[in-house]
Amino acid sequence: MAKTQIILDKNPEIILEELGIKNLSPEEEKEVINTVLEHFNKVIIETVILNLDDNQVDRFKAALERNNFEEEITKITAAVPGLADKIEKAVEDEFALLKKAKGIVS
Amino acid sequence: MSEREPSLKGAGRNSLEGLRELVKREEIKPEGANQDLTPPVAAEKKKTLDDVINLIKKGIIEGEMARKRRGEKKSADLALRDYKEILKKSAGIIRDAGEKASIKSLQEKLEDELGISVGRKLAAGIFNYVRTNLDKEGLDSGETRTSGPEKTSSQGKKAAAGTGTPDRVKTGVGEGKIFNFSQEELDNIVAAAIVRAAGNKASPKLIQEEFRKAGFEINDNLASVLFERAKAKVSERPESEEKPDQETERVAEEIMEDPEFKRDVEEAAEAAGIEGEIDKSKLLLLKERIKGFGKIILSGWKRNWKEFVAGGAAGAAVRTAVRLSFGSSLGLGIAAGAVAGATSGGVREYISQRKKFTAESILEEIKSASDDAKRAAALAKAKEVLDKTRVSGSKEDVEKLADIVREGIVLSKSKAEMTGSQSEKEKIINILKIAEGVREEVPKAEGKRKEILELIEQVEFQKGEIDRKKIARAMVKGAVIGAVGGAVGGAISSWISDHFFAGGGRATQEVVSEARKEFSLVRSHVLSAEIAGKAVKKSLEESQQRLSEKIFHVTAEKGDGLTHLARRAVHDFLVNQKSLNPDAFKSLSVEQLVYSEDTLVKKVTQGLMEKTRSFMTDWSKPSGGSSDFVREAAGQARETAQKAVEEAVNTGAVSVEDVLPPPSKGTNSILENICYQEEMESLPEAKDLPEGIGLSQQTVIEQAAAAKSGNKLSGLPRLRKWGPIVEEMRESVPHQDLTSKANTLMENLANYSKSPSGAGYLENFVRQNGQDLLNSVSEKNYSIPGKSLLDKDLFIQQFRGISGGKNSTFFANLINALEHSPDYLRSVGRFRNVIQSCGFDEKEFAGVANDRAVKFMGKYGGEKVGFFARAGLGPEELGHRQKLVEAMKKMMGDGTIGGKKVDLSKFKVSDFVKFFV
Repeated sequence: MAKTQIILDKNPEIILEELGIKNLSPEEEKEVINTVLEHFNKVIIETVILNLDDNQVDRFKAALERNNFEEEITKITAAVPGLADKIEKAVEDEFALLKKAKGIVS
Repeated sequence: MSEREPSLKGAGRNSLEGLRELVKREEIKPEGANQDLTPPVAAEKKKTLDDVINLIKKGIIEGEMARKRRGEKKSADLALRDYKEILKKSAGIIRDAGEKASIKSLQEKLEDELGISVGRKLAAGIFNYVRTNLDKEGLDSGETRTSGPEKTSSQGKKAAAGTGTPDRVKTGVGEGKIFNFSQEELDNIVAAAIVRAAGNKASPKLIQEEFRKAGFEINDNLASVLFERAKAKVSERPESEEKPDQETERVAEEIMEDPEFKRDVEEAAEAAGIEGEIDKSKLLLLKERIKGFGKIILSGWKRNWKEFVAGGAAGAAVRTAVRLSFGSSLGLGIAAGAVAGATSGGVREYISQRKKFTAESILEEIKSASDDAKRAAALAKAKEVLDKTRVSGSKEDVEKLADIVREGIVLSKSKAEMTGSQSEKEKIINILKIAEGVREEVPKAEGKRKEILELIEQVEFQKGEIDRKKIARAMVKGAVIGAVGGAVGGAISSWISDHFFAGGGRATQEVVSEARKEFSLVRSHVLSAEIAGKAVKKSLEESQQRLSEKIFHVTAEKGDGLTHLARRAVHDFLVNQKSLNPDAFKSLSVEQLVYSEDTLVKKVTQGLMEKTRSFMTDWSKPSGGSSDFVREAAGQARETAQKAVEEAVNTGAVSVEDVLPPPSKGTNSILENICYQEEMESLPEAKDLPEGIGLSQQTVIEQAAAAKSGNKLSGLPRLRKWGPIVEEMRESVPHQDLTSKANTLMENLANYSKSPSGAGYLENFVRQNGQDLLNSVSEKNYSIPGKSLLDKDLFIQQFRGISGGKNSTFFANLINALEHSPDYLRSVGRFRNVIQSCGFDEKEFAGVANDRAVKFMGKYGGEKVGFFARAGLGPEELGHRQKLVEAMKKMMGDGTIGGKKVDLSKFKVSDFVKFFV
């Protein structure tokens, strides 16, 4: 979970380093980090949902209606084989893509 | 019968008759009457003709057969008349129209004059066929020019007048073969249909009558011949084939269960019925392609799909349709398939063709693109395919394809839309925006699982940012829990495989693969448990087979089997997540899973422990970390695993009990029993006990056993109790640089050899926590938390261990620690805790004042094993203890210590220190 852990830890320094971003003011850094984290959250969400079976999708939908959805979502995703690896790969690939795109325009 | 004989299967609803009935029932007419049909007709001329011819032939016969099966008494006359009359009438219409002849006018005339609605495709087929064969097949009889339906054929009239051959009357509309069937073949087909429909009532006479009703006279001889042939033909077929609809229906139902197929059909229906909601150009194309039959097919589809898919094969038409529809609407394929026969075979063919646009092939195309332009083209095509969900293949391939397309678009857009003059912040924010847009633009769901896409959209766009954070975090947390739960057994077994023979991991993979198939419907955590257990077993079994081929440079120690070691490795893995609370894993279910392989496990050497532990430690690194997240995940993993085992055991899914010894006295759970058995096995032999402890060896054994069995998690699990102690120490002790002491500690550890397994644990533990540990027990300001003293015996035992077994150091540090907790024994509650941990009966100390504690300790200390024995102290330590007891006795007796009068009311532990050290 190396790359995913970076996202979870929300460590600005490491995230910016991963993306090859330098020389940001504190305000800029905050904005960038928030955007990056939000983006990666979506990447994770998509990856997970794509790996749910029909039954899990139904449960997931139901969970979203609850206030304490986190616990139920945790239970659901704990039951998906190999999901941690898939999330890690998706996050890793996304990091690589963003870095590559940035390299193109630099 | 000729090999070209059409199938008699099916209700024929897709036939001309079926179409006509649908038209009548729905009161609809083919669309596009005012459209210019020339271009598409020309393009489809050849194939359409074949299709139409077959359609007519099959439809006539099968439609009639269907009516017969339904018990309708109509004879074959209508069917026979239909196709001939349609063709003849069509020939007349076309001839009359001359240069102005068109498919549209043919359709209109057929409806006006014969009262039937003919679809565009069928009309086109007839139109082209008739125009091509107008002169050479005798269609132009002259009689066809008359208006209104004709009831009999001219040949039939001739036959009736006795101008036909002696035993056979010409029944066709022309000479020789008609529509690929000879007259004789047609006669046989019709006769067979009549016989099959009539069943026992079939006779030559009946055949003759039915033919007559259709306008064709046949003599007795021919009727008899046809009857015999038909009877033989019908009797050739087994009963099951007498009802072809059942099988067809079964196949149809099977196909209809395919969600992709259903979706395609629904989309086709939707596309045909909802104008304005799709792109205009596509709509035009769609209408162009489906007009004339689209509505008929689609409106009837939902109600009559079984009949649509019934019938013979129409593969060629479907293949063509699918190819043509590539680039437009998905539904065209199915619509075309339906009109071309809509057979089960055709539908299968459709699906098969559709799946030809696989992610794999597109990926290959992208990969083999020789230059940027070709690659861009391939990407564009891939995007289009993804957009239209015209792609299938493995889930991984589809997702990979989407990833590639996304990457291509993100990179190209980034290059096109951004400039080098933008600031760092602007660049990355813009890239993220582009990436966001592309993720929306290029769906990743295989086969466009609508509900999946909707769900993603719901979460990604309707939920707030805060919720998304929570959701993503919960997702990852669950994923890690799953990884922990499922990987432990697999990791162990993989290591075993790798260690014992080449190609390691195969056994695990096999088991996991099989298990996933086998247990796909089982609750997932039970599945994990099953997989882990089986993987371990399989690996070990294969390892066992190779044991004789290998030389192991390790030696086994008594009572230290793989089960034990593997369990320890698992423990290490978890403990080495240094922020984890070890106490949370005292009932880790994975241990039980490993235990279930007990019989095999015991044969493996102790070397496995170190190797496995190393493996597990390494393995854990990528997912390691010290955040709360990992701690939570691990805690949840324990609960999940625990639940999994309970369920598995309760349901018999994991036969843990089969391999465990029967429960022993004093234990009440599988886990306790495991621990008990283990402890009993590792108890010292009487001869190994230290001398001079003042107790019989048997008493010591009994005491030790009682102590161990009374502690549910003695041995290994007891060490876990270090966790909370250390945690508290961390909180209460300011950090100081005690590197030198830590080094000393490590040296001592290196010399610590009495208990290799304990040393292993300590080593790992101290590597993580050594400095804090030293810090905590050495600093003067440290105050031992009351609750931690519940584990005082353990504390002492371990303290002794890390002090290198030096008695003086041990006692010095013990007393030193107590000295700095002068108020400790003044609390009855804490005193009671000590009493309990020393193995005394709490009742004897009920209400005892704090100043009596020492007295009681003196009183009981010399007579029972208790505290010191459980601390594992040897004779030397006990010698010190005796001195201590004597000193205490003396103090309590005459109020002196070291010859000096002591004021007991002001007694402090430090007084002992002065005396003793």
